[in-house]
Amino acid sequence: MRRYDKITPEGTMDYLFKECKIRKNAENRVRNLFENYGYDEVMTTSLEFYDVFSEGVGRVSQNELYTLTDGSGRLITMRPDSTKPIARLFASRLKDFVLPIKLYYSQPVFKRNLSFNRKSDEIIQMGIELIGGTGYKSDLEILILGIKSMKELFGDDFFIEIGHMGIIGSVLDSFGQFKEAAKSAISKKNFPEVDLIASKLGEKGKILKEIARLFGGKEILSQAKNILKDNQAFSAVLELEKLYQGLMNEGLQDNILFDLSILNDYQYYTGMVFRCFVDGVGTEVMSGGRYDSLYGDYGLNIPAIGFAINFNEALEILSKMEIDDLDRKKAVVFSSSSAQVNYEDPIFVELKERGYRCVVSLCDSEEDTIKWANAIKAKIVITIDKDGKIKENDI
Amino acid sequence: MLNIALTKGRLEEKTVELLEKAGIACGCLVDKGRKLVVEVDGVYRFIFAKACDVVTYVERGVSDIGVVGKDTLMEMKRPVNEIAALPFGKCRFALAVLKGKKFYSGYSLKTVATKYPEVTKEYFETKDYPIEIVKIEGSVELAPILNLADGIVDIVETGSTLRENGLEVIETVAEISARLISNPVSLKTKKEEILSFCRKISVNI
Repeated sequence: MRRYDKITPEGTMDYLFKECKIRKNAENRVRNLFENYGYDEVMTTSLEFYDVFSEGVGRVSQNELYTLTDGSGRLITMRPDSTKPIARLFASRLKDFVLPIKLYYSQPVFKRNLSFNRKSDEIIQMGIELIGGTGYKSDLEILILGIKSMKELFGDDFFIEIGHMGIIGSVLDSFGQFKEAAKSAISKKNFPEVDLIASKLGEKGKILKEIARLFGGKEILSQAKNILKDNQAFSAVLELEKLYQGLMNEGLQDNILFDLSILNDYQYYTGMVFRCFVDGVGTEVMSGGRYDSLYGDYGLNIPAIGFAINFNEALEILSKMEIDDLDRKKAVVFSSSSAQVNYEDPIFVELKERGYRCVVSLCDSEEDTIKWANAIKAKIVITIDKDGKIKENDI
Repeated sequence: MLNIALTKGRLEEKTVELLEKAGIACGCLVDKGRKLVVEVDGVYRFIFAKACDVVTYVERGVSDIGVVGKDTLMEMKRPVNEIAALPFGKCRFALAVLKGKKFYSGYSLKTVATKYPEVTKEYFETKDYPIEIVKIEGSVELAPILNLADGIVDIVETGSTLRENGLEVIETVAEISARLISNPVSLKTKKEEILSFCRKISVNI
């Protein structure tokens, strides 16, 4: 008995018609942006050796990986992200290239999720990798590209949140044995837990309580400067101020938020981090930042920065917006003689000029053609009789 | 509009009491009948759901914040922000055995019955003590009585159910109370609304 021969696994889906159009259209808009900024595309294999993700900064937990074995019994995994494969690609085939290298990708990643919570196991991602990009100029370029790609997708209906790992990192380092507990509490924004740990830390705990709550508009940055006298943390706040200034020069300062205790992927990110939220969507649509230690997994000391857009979340938002212009009206063309419609008939040019997309009817009768035209929501039916005379019917 | 998910049942009474005292909901949450959604002044929309569903709704962002027990959060381990502890729903997770029995004695693999397999698994993993877990849906106390399990991990409030069935607590696994949780995105995009709601119910975050 074949029980699963008509459905797809949980967390996956097929894309049909308008869904494809929205997806391709959105991809193209972002692709054009990336290309215009001089980024070149790479496509990596969907199947990677497990070893690529088993250790180091780019490690992915086993229970998130889709694994299988190859013909020799070696452990293979479906790629769970694109950044580590691109680092692998660099370490093997691009390492003699002059830095920085500007790359982008558009491909799905595969990750196991808990069942039945409406999260995708196959996520279409588009993203940027700036390999060997260091300093303020790189940070700003990536931030600008991140924001502009969100503008391409959502107009002005989104928020960008910026943080810096240098701030929370140096604060956490001073907590000794409480570092791990503080990290966990702060990353979950579990305030009761934060306050409990803070009370054990005495005087130093004050800064933990305050920093956990440092999120909001740009006023957060001046508050942070008052709180953080520690040098490394202080300079990270200055970096953020400078980036905000840079965004203002580009006219991209709207809807910018700051969170100085972002701790996602603590071991991964090393500097500026950012992500995008859309009102009414519970998860982030885009996230990225600086990850200068990832290439260390390959023994390379190369800074890198980038971001990835979660297209599944983006598409869900886009499908709720009005996008009529994507759906050009259809005209069904039918030949009432036994011969097939001549595709060179001038009627096709005329219909195209009138804004129609032509679909040839393969039915035998006009009656069946009209039924079919109704079913595919065509606007008009064009009937060509055997003498080449043309009749137009509105549906 | 702030979307707020409340856990039905015992926590609901206490939460509604808190909201009434704060002057947020005047009667309409008490006399809601069988309604699952109640809007208040176009400012708040309350929904009433089972504890695990409150977490799911908040995780997915269809509710911005919610009130739920720490026990549910520990079992589900979902990425929601636990922004405040509320002063009710206090109890604890505990390991209990038949009175007088020594759980850790001998070398045999012990079996633990529980409604909370994740909490149980994590607790014994942190102790590096291997066990077998049996998931029970109803009265867990039956499992050791029927000799299906060596012990149970369950929520204990006063301990009277345990005593009446000849069991006793030997370890506290975790302290529990009601929590105010938030969707991580809502906490950013609706920060002011959430903070003002918290101020109204006199909860510091």
